[in-house]
Amino acid sequence: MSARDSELPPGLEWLEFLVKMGDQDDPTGWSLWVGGVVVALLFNAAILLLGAWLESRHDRKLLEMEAATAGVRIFAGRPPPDLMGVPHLVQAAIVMAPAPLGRLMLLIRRIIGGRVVTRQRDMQRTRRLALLRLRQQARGLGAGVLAGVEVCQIGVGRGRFALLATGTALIGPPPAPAPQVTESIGAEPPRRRREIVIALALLILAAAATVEMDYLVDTYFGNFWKRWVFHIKE
Amino acid sequence: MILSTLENPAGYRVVRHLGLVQGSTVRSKHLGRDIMAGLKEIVGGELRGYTELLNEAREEATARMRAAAAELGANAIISIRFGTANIGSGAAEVLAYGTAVEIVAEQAAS
Repeated sequence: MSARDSELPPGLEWLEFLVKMGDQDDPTGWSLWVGGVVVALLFNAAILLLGAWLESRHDRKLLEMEAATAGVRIFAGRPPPDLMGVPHLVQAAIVMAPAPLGRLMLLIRRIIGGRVVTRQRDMQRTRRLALLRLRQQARGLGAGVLAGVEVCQIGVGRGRFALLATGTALIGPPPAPAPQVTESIGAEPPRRRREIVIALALLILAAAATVEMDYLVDTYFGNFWKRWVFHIKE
Repeated sequence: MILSTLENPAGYRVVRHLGLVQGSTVRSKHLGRDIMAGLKEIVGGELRGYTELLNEAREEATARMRAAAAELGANAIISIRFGTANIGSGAAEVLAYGTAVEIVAEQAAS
């Protein structure tokens, strides 16, 4: 008996398409189901690519902004005694959400273990932005030295990166020329293309597994959940 | 008032220690900002609403600390530190503390 002969409760006949969906004996129903899986796959792939594109665009912007403030010297504790000036408190905050690529890579890493490079990259980017904002403020105040810098981590929701950075800008005569150092030092070059390929392959695999699983379940067990949901008698 | 994260800003001399001052605040954004942040989270990137939230929170905490120092008659706060706590997903607690002192510029003192 096919699902088309099902007896839906009165008033719920319009749910017929749900019964048909995924029914391999019904071409419309089956293609509707497969089409749904494909749409979900495309949607996720689009978000993944959009996220990766935004990330790489942001990386480029970050490098430009860092180059502009490279002249400000930055110290974690007490600065060298020759650098003096009127102290002024500067603070910066940043809250970042990881890119979808990073979230997916984290899932994979939690299964196979190892270093979560994308996560590390997100953390680095947050730190760079926090320090960059401090430097921009110092530069805005006309200070060439930023001392006593501290960065503290805050939890704002799950999986987000939030930092609060504080420091003391020393407003005074410009310091002697020093090596131009930016926060990008020590940052690993991203291998984003490889990650995207892995992620897309995984998405396609997941979609294929979903369709295949449904096919197998239908073949060997029948539409048991539909029978249960819609009380179809066989 | 001079605010500094350093223990002893160069060029200044501490005349009088007035003790620890602090200010704290807990703030959150309205539901609309939470929803927008949730949408932004899908593609990743900076959540500006929450950055704003943290900025507001630490500004308020600093202002309260400053008011406490002014009450003690201090003209500077040194060794400022910030502490934060995570309260759920949409709220931020910021605590600012430091030592209220009276300082004079070194040139004026000598």
